[in-house]
Amino acid sequence: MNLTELKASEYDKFVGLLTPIQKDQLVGRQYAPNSYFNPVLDGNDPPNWIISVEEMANCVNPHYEWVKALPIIPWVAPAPPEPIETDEAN
Amino acid sequence: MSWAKFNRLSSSTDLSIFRRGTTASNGGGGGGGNDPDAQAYIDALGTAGYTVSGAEETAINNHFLDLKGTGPNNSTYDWWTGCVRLLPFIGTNAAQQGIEGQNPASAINFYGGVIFSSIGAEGNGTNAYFDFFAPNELPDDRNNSIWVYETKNLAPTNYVQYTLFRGAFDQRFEGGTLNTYQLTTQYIQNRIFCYYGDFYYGLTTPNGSLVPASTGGLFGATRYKSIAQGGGYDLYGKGVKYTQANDINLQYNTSEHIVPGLAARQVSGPTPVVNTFQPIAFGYALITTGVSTQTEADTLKTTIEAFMTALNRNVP
Repeated sequence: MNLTELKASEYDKFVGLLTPIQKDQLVGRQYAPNSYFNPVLDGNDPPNWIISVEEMANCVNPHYEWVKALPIIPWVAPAPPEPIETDEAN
Repeated sequence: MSWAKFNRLSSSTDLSIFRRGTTASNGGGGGGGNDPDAQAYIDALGTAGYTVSGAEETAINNHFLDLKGTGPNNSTYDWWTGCVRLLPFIGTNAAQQGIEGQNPASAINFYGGVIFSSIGAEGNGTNAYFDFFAPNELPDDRNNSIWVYETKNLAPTNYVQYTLFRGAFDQRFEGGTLNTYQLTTQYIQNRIFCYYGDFYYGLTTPNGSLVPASTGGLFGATRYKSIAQGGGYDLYGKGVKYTQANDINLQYNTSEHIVPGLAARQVSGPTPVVNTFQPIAFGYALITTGVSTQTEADTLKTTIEAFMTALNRNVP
């Protein structure tokens, strides 16, 4: 699957798969004015470095047009956070 | 103006000048009708490529006047003089929605897949957040208030919204909670709380205190000066005020690394593992001098909700 096959309504179900080298290339770089890439680890074991489909689709920085061709994989969320516990609230 | 001249209008800035009935050139400073600071914000949106509609222009102007105590919804309080950050999130991309209302020459940055639309800046739930403000912008020697309006009612599952109030500069994204204080809404247990640094919370509302139990609406908090000066908070959730006169001295170390605005993240082992980016939508954010009374908070709520309604962003 690639970016062009995705509908906007499906963006939250998929992500773009990065190699560790690609992750390093994107950290701190802008994909559009005032918008920065934010590679994160997904919930697979072992985890993958990924960026969101929004970053791929909205990238207008010619240096990083290659993100539009990243392999698309299903988004596996990391384990949900534990509720914040406080003594008073319980 | 003749139709022939109207037809020669070539930019959104020209159109804005036409609407306010002046002959000023770029940056002309608000001439005809609009508040000059509102006009500067409108002009900045135009420069960034967004054409402000007539309804939006009226809404923006009224809100700036309201913040100054000279508007249709507020003729008493001045929230403009102490304003550190005003984010109306208007536009269709980061460059437009990031423009700071209190200083349109500046804009915040967004990270990851933030979704920009008519309801504001929305997290994608995967990796999105925004750079709300630099913590060193807030002085410790005054009361500070932070207000956010969330434009989407999400189901009350495990959504946590952290909004960093102030923190040591080098801890903005990666540090712990030392020297920070925060507004947090936690929807799984439907409550809000504030805390300062290693003192994990200064005030928390009871479980189930957010009614309705959803993410939409206005949330606010006032931090009363520094902890050395007694501290304390007021919290405002969906119109209800909660007060803690002094900081509660409860030590609670947390491994959470706080991101201002849309998300928090936790660290597991040597490599940061993201697990709490949230899909919350923000339609408005304000940091200003401390709001201290229920009457003032009610007036500000009316003011912000009127702005959101005028922008068709209000949530029930």
